[in-house]
Amino acid sequence: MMKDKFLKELEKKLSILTELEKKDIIDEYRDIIEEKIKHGKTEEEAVKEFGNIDKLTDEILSAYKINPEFNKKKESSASDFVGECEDFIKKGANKLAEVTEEIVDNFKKNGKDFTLESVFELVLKVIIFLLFLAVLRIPFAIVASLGSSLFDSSFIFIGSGVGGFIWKLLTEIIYIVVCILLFVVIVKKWTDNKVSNQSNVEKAEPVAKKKETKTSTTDEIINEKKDSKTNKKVPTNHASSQIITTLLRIFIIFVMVIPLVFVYIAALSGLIISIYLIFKGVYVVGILLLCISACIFLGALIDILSSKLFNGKRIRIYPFIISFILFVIGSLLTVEYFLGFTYYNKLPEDVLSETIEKTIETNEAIVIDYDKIVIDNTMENNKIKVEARYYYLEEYYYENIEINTFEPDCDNCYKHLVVDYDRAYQKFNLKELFTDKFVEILKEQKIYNYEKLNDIDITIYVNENTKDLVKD
Amino acid sequence: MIVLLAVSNRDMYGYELIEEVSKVVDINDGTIYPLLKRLTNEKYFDTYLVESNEGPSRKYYHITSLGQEKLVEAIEVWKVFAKSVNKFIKESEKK
Repeated sequence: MMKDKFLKELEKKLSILTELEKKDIIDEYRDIIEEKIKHGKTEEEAVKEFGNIDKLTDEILSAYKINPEFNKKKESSASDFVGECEDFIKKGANKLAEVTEEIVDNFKKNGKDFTLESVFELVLKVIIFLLFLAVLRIPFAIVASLGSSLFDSSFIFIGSGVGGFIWKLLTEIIYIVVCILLFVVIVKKWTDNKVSNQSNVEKAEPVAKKKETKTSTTDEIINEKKDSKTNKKVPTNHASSQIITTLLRIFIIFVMVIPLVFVYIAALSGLIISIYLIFKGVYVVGILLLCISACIFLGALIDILSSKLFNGKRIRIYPFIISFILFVIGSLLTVEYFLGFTYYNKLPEDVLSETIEKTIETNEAIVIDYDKIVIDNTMENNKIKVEARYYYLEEYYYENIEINTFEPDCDNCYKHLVVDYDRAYQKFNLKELFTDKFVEILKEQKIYNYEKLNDIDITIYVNENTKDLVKD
Repeated sequence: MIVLLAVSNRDMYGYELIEEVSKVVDINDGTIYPLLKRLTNEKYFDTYLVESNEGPSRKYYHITSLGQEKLVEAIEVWKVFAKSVNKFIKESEKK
């Protein structure tokens, strides 16, 4: 390491000291290195002779009776996280043992303090705590069932039950651990309180506060329990509160950040699709703005959550304001776009049609469901010409269309004429969705009544005489 | 103790001290300065700066009366320790 780099690093690690002291130390080391260079050593060698820089820093700081672990706590990377978790678990177990002993001792000491008030206080606190646990159960249950169904569907090859079961088990375990730790922390604070002889006023405060904020996040509740205690400083329960915060982080990540990320992805895809449509000429600027505002809003939300989890950064308001403005404008434009659609109760002009015709002969009355009747006296008697016009699309068309007559099926019934047909569809594929035809529809903003494809227009031609044979 | 002894003979600055002490024991340069810092904070040393024409000003260490007392104590302790160790060695050699 070169001299300047070494000195810079040293200065950084000694940042807890005052400027003057730091300068003092850095100057001294600079002098020593200079001297060594004067006596023939290279920069590298001179710096190397000081040994490990972290050890060096620890030694220097120990002269000021500073805890060398102090600065290091802030930087925890992902790999340290696992180590921290293990430590927390050990500490948690220790704390549990300690606290149980303490509780027993406290009870013995404060035996005579057990007035009716303190009993009520205890009962109320227990009830509230249980309610809180029940509420806490809900997100865990949601996460558990979501995760297990996800695992069940994707782990089909391994064994459908296994994945889901493991997931449920994990969430249950985490939930139980969280409950126990919360219980420990709260009991510890409570017993510390008993030692300091707190007044009755405190009883009213936590109850009122709890009733209002039961639905707020766990963070706030723990903080309020801290705040509502007396003037005596409760000894900060470092280890267990650290465990709690770590678990809370995991919890918040799973329940809040991940769903937000998915919604963000959805908004982003909406954005891409709307850009594509605009590119093709469909005027969906409104939808585009909506998607942009969603992206900004969600992005800012995710940013806030993740910064809160890992270190407190300033909350930026302006993304929310911008996204709100865009949202208002976007929704107005979207509404305008959708209002631009007109409905036509018919089929479009360019729809395809075919006509079939058949001439039938009949002596008796016959029932025909016709739309139009034309008196054509060039027709012979007892002859009826039936013209059936039907409409179809490329993807949706008729097959085996025929005009048939049926004999009466009861004593007083008539013969009737029916157009028989089969329906055929072309297989739907996703590419269809983005064909130009679909985009055309969005562009023109016209909606037609495609139900009319099922109608068949029947026109019959009869002469004067035969007309009466036709019943409606 | 050696550091205290060295400085009690004459005032020295950082690098000089490392040299002097290295003559007696093999020591890591990195530990000298923290040690000096500690002894200074505990008022065994005073420091003063001397302007130098060949470079920046140097910090010199000077032993205080408190430091002097501490030195005397430390030498006593060392002498007692040395005596017991020597005695033990002599006894082991006899056997």
